[in-house]
Amino acid sequence: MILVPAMRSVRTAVLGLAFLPLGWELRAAEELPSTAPPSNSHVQTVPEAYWDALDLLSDGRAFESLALFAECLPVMDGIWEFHINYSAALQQANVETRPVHGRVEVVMRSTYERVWCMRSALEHLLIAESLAPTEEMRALTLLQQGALLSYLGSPLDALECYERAAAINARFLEEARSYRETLELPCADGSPPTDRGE
Amino acid sequence: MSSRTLAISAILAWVLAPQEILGQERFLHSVAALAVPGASRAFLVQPNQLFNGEWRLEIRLSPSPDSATVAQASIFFEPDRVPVARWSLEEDEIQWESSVAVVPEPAPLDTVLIASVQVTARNHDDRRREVSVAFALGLPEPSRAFTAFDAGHLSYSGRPDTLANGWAESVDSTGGIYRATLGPRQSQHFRVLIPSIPYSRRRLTHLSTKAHLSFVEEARQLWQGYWQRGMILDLKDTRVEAAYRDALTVLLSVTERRGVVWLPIGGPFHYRDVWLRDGARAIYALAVAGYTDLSRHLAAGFLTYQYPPGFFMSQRGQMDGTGHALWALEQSYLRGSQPHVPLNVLHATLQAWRWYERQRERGRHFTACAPGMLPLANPKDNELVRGQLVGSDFWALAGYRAAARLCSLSGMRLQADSVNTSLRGYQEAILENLAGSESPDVPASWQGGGHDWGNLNCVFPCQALSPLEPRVERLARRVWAFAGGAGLCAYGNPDSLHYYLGSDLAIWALLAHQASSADSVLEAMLYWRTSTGGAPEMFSRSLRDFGTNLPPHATSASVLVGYIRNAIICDMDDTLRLTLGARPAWWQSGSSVLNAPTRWGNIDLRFRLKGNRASWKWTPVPAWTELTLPRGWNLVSRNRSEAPVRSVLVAPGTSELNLRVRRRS
Repeated sequence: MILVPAMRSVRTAVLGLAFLPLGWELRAAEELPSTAPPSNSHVQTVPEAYWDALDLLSDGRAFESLALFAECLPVMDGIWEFHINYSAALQQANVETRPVHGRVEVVMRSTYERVWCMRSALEHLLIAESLAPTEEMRALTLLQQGALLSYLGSPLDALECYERAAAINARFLEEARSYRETLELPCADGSPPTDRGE
Repeated sequence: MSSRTLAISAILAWVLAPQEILGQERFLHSVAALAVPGASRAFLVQPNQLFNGEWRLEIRLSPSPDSATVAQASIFFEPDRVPVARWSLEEDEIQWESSVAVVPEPAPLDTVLIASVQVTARNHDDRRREVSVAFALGLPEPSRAFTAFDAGHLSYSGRPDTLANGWAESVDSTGGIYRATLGPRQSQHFRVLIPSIPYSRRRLTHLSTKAHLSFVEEARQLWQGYWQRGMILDLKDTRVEAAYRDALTVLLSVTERRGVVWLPIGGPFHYRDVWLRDGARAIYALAVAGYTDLSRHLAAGFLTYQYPPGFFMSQRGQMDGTGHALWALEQSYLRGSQPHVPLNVLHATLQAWRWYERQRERGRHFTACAPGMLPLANPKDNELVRGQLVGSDFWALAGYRAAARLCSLSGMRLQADSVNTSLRGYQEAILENLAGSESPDVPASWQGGGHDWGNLNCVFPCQALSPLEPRVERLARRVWAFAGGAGLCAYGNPDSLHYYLGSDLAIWALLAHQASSADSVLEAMLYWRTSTGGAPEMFSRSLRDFGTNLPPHATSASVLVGYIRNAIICDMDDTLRLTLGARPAWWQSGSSVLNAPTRWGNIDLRFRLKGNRASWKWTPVPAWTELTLPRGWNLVSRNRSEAPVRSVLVAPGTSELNLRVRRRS
């Protein structure tokens, strides 16, 4: 019942946590677990495709990794780390670019695909929340949900996630408090210029 | 009809068509879009250039007009508005006429489009002339306005049985090359085929046996088929009818099919993506124009934009997306002859409503926020401000109303009542916040900053405020004054005209019986279109330049269709309003609208002003109906009162009315 073979670093296995901050900085990054906790693994072996997916993800090729994550889903559906990493890949793929005839273009065709990715990313985090092997992991998952919802622009849903994380672990009280403060800030003119098509 | 006869009649029609039907180029450069509903790419046509998002075709003529002349040439569609692009150039007694017709391949390859490009050289000289046409293929410049999403994935191998980027009878290393010697008064055609994606060389060779005029005729049949499926408009006003048809062509063209899902996109080129706000407008316009099934397919496509908490969003930070999606679902599913709401639509709608309610409730705990309103948003677009956006609340209200109506129609009375109760509370909260606002009209954000955007939707479509609310009139006066008068609004600076930003104020003006202001907006919408009838999103008025924000824009087409429809038949609430903004010319000749979908089924309407009698005849509906009198005419009353009566209200079930009217003094 081993999830992480010895030759694979634990850092890779929880890669998703490093991809947290899409528009939101996790200030307590150094407080993230330095080793993966014992997992609630339900599989005998980890498919090779999963390691390939993680390699692609850490190599900045999230879009290519999605097919491999999808391939692993039937056998890794009950594993917290898998959903965290799959969610990270979906979020990263959303902003990935490629050069086309002298210009940088987004990899995703349109918002139809991008929204599918972000929605799936959130769904995987919701599953991960239910699978979290420890309360600490659950709180971290909630922080990820909060970051994603904040990035999308649903601040009160994000705040709820941060506050739930803080209720589980007082370490995250500051996260929740500072996020709440940002929502009390007055209206600010001169926002960044238009970015339709992002 | 032989192809020769077709050619002669097409040329004759083109030469004889009045300028107002052909269109007139209002902009610095002429561009046209050739697209087909459901396909994944479109062709951008500029004089002597064609671009499919991946590679470009440049037409090099000899003798050639100078580049400035070419750049200023105007592109036209056929006189009957069939989207076949034509332009004409002349140099040294040689007249060059170019034509591009685009048709889809037969299903299941119908996402592949084939452009047939024909250049005709006419020698007006009395001596023999050497002419040549080079059809050069090349990659686009990095500064191009857009790239096809799948560009670069397929490449031309050069082998005969594989993919090709084009077909020409005679080719060199850069593309097709033709040379000819024309005798006096002689003419000759030169032709290439360009597919929208790299395509089977063998198939292209086979297609080349089909004459260019057959492509033109195929395009005509395709588009006439599409147009005939919708509402039939007969206003005896060729300019408005042509503009309406052009707008429909754009709206149908900016749809993409992904398997069984249909999506409304923002434009054929750089806006080839889905924005809920633009898509909702397109769905509405197609719904009122009679494309009930297509509008429902497109609205159902929006369900894929709903997130687990319940909100709909296409671009992050744009909280109004939920309201747009619900409104679009309502507009499409509640209109037409067979209103029917699928269960998944109802579930999605109620989930979104519950999300709204949670947001408003949680938001009450923030002291700096307007109470009962949606939380802070940063759309990075439009209002360009981080704040509580008034437009988001207006659209939420439209979403509540949509949810209530969808539930009500489906027999879910309890849910409908719950939504309606919260709707009333929300509307009251909006009015309270407005009363406490420092703005004399309707601000863009509750905190007071930001550009006017969603706040302009206050009366139509959101029905957050009454048309008679004085703040709305002050809002309209302010934004029109900024642009120099009633017409298109300006965004950011007075020279930056925005085609659709203020279009809802025109509907407000109709509802407030300010027909002249409304008509000024229509006139501006008719004027600021390209020679092929597409309208841009934004442009410099002084330079007449849209830059790389290429027309046509889907929402610009949507608002034109929406305005024309509402000016004749408006069914935005529980009253049917007829001839709300009918122009005098429409009255004088007698007009008709057939097969118009409304909340009470499809209806026909005929109206006319003959002598001193105004008459209406329409399909009866189970709703009160308000009939607006011809502009400048008053009802003849027994007491000879001069008080202007602009409209009359008739009971449900009425189908005909004749009124004695006289010119207002």
